[in-house]
Amino acid sequence: MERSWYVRLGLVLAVVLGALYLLIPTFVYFSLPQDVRNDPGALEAALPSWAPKKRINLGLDLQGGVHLVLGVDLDKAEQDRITRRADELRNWATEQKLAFQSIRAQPAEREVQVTFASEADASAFGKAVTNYFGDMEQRSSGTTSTYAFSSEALKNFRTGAVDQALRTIRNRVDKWGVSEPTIAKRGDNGILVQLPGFKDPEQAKDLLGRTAQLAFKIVEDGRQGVVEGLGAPPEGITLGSDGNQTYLQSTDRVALQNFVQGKAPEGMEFGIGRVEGTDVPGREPVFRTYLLRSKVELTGDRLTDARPLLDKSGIGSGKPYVGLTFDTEGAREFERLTGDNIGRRLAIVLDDTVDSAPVIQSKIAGGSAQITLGGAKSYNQLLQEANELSLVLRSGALPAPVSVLEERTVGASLGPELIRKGSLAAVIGLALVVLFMAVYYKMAGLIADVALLLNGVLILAALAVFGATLTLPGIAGFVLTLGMAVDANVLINERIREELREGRTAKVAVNNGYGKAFMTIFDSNLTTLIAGIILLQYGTGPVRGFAVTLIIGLIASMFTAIVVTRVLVDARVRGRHGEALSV
Amino acid sequence: MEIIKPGTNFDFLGKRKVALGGSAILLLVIWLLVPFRLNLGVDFAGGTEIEVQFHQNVSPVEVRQKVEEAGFADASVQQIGEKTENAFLVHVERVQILSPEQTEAVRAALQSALADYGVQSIDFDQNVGDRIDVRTEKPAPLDVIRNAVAGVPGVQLRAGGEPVRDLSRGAQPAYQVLTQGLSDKVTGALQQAFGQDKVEVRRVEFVGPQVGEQLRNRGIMAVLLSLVAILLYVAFRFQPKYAPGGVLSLFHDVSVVMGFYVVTGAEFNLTSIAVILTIVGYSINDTIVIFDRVREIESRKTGKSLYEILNLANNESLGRTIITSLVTALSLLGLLFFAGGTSLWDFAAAMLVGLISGTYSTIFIAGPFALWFDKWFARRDAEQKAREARLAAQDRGELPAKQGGGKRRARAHAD
Repeated sequence: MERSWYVRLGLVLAVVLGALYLLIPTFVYFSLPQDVRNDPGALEAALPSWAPKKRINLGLDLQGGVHLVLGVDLDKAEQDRITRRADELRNWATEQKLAFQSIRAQPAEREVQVTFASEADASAFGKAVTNYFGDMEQRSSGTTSTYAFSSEALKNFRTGAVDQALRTIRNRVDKWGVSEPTIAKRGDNGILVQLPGFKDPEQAKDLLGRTAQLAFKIVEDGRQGVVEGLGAPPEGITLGSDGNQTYLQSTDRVALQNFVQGKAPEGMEFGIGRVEGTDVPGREPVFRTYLLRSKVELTGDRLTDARPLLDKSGIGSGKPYVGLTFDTEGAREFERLTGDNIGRRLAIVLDDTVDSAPVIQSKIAGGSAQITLGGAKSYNQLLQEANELSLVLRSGALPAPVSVLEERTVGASLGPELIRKGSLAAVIGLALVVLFMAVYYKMAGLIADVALLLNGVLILAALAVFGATLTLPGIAGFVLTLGMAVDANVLINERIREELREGRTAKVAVNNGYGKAFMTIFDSNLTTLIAGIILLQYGTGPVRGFAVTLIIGLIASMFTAIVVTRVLVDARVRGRHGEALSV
Repeated sequence: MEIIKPGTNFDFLGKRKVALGGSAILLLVIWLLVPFRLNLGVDFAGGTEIEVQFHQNVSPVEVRQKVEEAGFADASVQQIGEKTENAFLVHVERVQILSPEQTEAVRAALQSALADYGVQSIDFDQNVGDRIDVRTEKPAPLDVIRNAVAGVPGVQLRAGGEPVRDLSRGAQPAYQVLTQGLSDKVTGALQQAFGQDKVEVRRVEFVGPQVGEQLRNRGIMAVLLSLVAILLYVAFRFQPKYAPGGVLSLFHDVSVVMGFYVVTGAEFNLTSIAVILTIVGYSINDTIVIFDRVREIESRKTGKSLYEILNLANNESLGRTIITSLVTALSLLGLLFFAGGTSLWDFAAAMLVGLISGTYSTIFIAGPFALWFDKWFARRDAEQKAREARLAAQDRGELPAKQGGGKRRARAHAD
């Protein structure tokens, strides 16, 4: 027993030290003045270099900020799309010299109605349409035929519409330099946007609700030495090169933007985009500059469609690319643009963010172009890239209206007050519990108190490691979890009391007490855990914070209430065989 | 120190008929009141809630008056926190700022203003009502649209940003008009009445009806799911006969927590669902401790009936039951006395009510039902046995056995 006791003591001490180590950034964060603490630079400066980086984040309800759920109006988007398709059909049919009387969109039914002079015209048209437009199907035939998108095409369109809105929103939020924003899909058509510390909900709603602006600009690769000529960039901004031009790069988009603002030579401007390959979820993206010609060569509203396709020609067969179609005027413009700029790069700029810059290979006439994707990449990577690029292009071509479905804004003044009230209440609640246990169970109570405090430290450390968010209900959950976790020690102590009453020695009583209470503690914690996990699945924002605290607390309490107290209790009963034990 | 002296011998189960009867009546009353009295917050009902603080002394009557003057006669105004804080909660249940008459007026104004451009459609956003989508045949000037909408009495365009946006793509002219949001209108009216710098908007919660309904359905699902999951766990971990009692006692606790919201009129929101699920977890915890004790006593082979065993288990665990409830309640006291004016007070109070209910229901609901289902299972087994015996007897050509081994088996099972 001696040896195993030291091992267990070592384990407990290691866990305590580890937890304290993990809490260093959180401690530093809260000891900084409130207006400084959210500046990543200040926090980094205050932290010792050997300290971990992750800390407990404050939820929107505690630090202020904007929580929005934006709904993409899919009905409206579908109606616009079918109207658009009717125009395309009309142009195409005229070009193909197919006979028809009229082509009209019926947005409410999501149909295009085509009338013909004869049945023969109708069937010729029908064959040609379904051949050329793979995503359409004929609903009814005859001299008044109707066409609609296939259900699969519609389904793809709906998910695509939400994805492109998500993309647009992410671009915009990037530009504001909000630290740690959350942007995620919610349900079928919702997009969750959380902007911690953001103060102006009206501005956020206005900017996020706007439709995306897509523009094509020429990349100015001929000029050397422009970025080098800007002088020494501030810290955090470095030089890079993509083989065609040197650029500046940084993880801080706002700083990058400020540095290059207005410094481009006459007729040129700096665009900002992400460095290729850094757009990975969970990693901080790196932004770079592009030297562009200021002139907008073509705007996105001339684009009628963009989608990922597979190359069916002989060489490079099966390679994904992006197919573009333009309306009549757009086609003319695009032909001129590509003819004049063979060999140059064409920047695709969505809302002032350069998404990509493919090289113009040849003059493209006829209104449909293709963007081939370069580099030695796997099929899946290329397909992914083709998908992403089509989303960007479509955002400019077929924007889906977005409206605010849910808004929760917390002003900056409320948070600190809630933290003050909440933590005071928590401390008082815990003090009462600690006091009661010490009075009621004396020494055994004090041991339970040690476990309780350690449990608290472990919960906070775990929250820090997972970068979890502390919310107002989370504070309540913290106190409540600790209150409930004491149950394990109550069960153990009551058991030991029973054993002692039945005349067992201290050592045996402790052994039996822990042994018999274990299964009960396990069972009862597990059921609470079930409820906690369901809550985590269901909850949003603050309530999730509560569930996370509850779950972590339950797991931590299994360790502190059983392992930690056992180490201390064993130390107490060591050597005592017959003497009384006060529990 | 000891609060409960060991060796108590209360006949808890003896009071089961009174307890069950009382609980049944209580639950019935609560669920009858729920549809009428439950104060659904914006999370579930949809609507707008605005928390404002004034930097001067303001009475609730004044605030209510100003909000009503702004056109929200149906708004509720409630003072929160200390009187000196001058903080108020303004709650408007509807989300659409335009009345049906105004909607029609806007439509008519747009129709006539855009007659020259060929109106294709005018749509109002179903969910929020602050967005109007217009499609025309020929491109229309933005000014014409803006003036048409702004000219309708009582309708204001969104301040800041562009209230009218051109969404035209290719040959299809498309426009979007944004009217002033509800929270803007309320805070605007208050700022006008009390001075721009005297009013601070501390919190705005707006939930559209679509989201509200989703949250409501998911909340109900979450509670049901947790009950089913726990039912399965108890049935698997203990014996099936214990599961219905455990779940009914949870249903009892959920109902009592609902009762708290019905009686106090406290807002029922997402946090309330968190309270309910936590109570579900806590209460079954309590029940499992007792069932565990029953299992242990059964293994001692004392020959006692389940009735006696349940009573004994309750008595033996009484110290733990009381202390644990007390400690958990103590941890909530801080929230109850020092978090007034925040949502934490409602949270702590509801939790406390649930806690008491959870302790009660373990003894007086879960136990009696375990007893009842024990008898039911035993009777079913006995009947099964008797039927088999009868069939076997018929096969052998003997007379049907009137008294089989059923009773003996039932007794053996109860032991």
